[in-house]
Amino acid sequence: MTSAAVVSAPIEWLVLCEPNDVVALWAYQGLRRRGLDRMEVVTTSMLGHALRVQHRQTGTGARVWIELADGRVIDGSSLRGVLNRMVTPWMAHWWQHGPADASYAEAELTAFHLAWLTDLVCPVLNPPSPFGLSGRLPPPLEWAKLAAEAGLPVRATTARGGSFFHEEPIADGTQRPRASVVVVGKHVSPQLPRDWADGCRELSRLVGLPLLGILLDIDDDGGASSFGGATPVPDLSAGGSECLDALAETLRAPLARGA
Amino acid sequence: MLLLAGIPSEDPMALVIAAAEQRGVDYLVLTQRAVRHAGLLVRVDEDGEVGGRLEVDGRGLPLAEIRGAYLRLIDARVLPELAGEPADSEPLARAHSFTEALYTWAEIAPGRIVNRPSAMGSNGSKPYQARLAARCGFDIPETLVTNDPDAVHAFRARHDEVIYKSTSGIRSIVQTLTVDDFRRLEASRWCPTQFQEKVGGFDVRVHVVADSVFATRVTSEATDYRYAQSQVGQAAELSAFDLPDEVSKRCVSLTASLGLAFSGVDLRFVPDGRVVCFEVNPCPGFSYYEQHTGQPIAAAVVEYLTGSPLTTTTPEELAAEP
Repeated sequence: MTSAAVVSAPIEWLVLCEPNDVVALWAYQGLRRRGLDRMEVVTTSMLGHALRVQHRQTGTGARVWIELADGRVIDGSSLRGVLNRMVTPWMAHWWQHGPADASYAEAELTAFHLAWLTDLVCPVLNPPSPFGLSGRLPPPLEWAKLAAEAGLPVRATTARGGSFFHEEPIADGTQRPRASVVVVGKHVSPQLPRDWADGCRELSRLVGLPLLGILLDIDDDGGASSFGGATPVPDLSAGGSECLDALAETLRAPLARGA
Repeated sequence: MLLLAGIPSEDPMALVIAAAEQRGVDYLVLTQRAVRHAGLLVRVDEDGEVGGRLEVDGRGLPLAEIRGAYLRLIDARVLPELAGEPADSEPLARAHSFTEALYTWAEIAPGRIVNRPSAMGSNGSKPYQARLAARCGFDIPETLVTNDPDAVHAFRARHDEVIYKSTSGIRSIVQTLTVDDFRRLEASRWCPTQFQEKVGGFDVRVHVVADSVFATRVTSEATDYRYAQSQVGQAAELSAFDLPDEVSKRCVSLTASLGLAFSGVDLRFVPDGRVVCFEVNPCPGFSYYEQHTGQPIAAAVVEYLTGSPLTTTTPEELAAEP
């Protein structure tokens, strides 16, 4: 991370993340080595302590200006790409004000971040959603259905509610060994057999998350056997240098999103 | 079989139940207030097929028999039957688990759902939704979300009048920015607030059910007509409105692009010719408008759910149209 005293050129690439996100730091270092040198890490805590924020909107465009306490400025018009791993807005200083005010502030801050990120014209991986600042996270049953639609093998999955709440699970809850893959657009890393790679890409497309971490259950022979879960905030290191190459390529895409 | 889930005595749900009854449609009312005695099991098998069963008042129903559902659920914590329950109580946990399972089923079930839960969140951020409306051809008011009082003063200087309201979906009363409010602007440093140019003209609420459109003109001097009685001492007047074809198409397109089968679109027709979209409500309380105008909105919802010829197009089909 570059100190405020050194930064004079505008920030072109952002890594937005939670304060304890070491994977984000790993990605930041790898992406800078790949030429994204005007890249800065900004945590939710830094955003929560911003001195001045402005998000202006008209029918034809928008302007985003966020002045951080350390002197760095996020100027939406200068940004070329964002790796977005934000989960929730920074709330630590709000809980002392009581649950009602804190709850209102959380809703307002979430709405603010959702809107300014959506108004950026550069690539944002992942784009935010009303149900998650780094993209919507479906429940297990929905993941199972989507994975099946994508052509990935799935295990039967059940959700219970009300008077069925304490019934014994139908599905086998045995913990299985798992492997992690990372999808970045059309890139899947590490390399998989073609049908599995196609299924992972299709799942990413169906769920609307161009950056997706997928867990695959491993069978006794060491091969992938079924879909085991997914996340919009993956451990990018599971995809290794190939994943960083794909991220760098995607973040450099020329103004893929527009207002 | 249609599933109608919510509070049956609530006006919008009551109108839909009455419309289903009038049309002789087979339906089941799931009363949220009786959810303590209901059970839901939802299953996705190895082929990705959705199944399971719903038990209500001792009656079991395979979920595969439900071809359409209208959901108007509330937070279980505010149900009178669960009032005062500790946050970790068993009855509350069961109620939450039921609601969660129902929403999960509604998201993945085949058939027609009003509305899919994943489509219900866009009005959680007004400027976010405004951008989606602009992409569908609507004008949006010039807006500033900021925690900087100086920026607010500069914004106010550029417009004849400015209003402010919540940025999120939490209901707020829209207020005009006055000199008295300037003294409170320092409080905005804690949390960004949304300010907008105040646009004149008249309000039209458009209810969209698939490709059917019902427009209601609202006449009031209040800044926020929902609170007209308290703001200006007189309730708003409602009347059916003949919406221009182009605006009608934009409303249908916007609703479909948001993944909704049913919406309430808030428009303002500005004297300079602009049509500004303020909000798209994914769970509209349409009864207020139907009761004042006689527009058959509830009937249209039932027609959509049953897949009748009048409203056959799903949001997915509409969104895919060129």
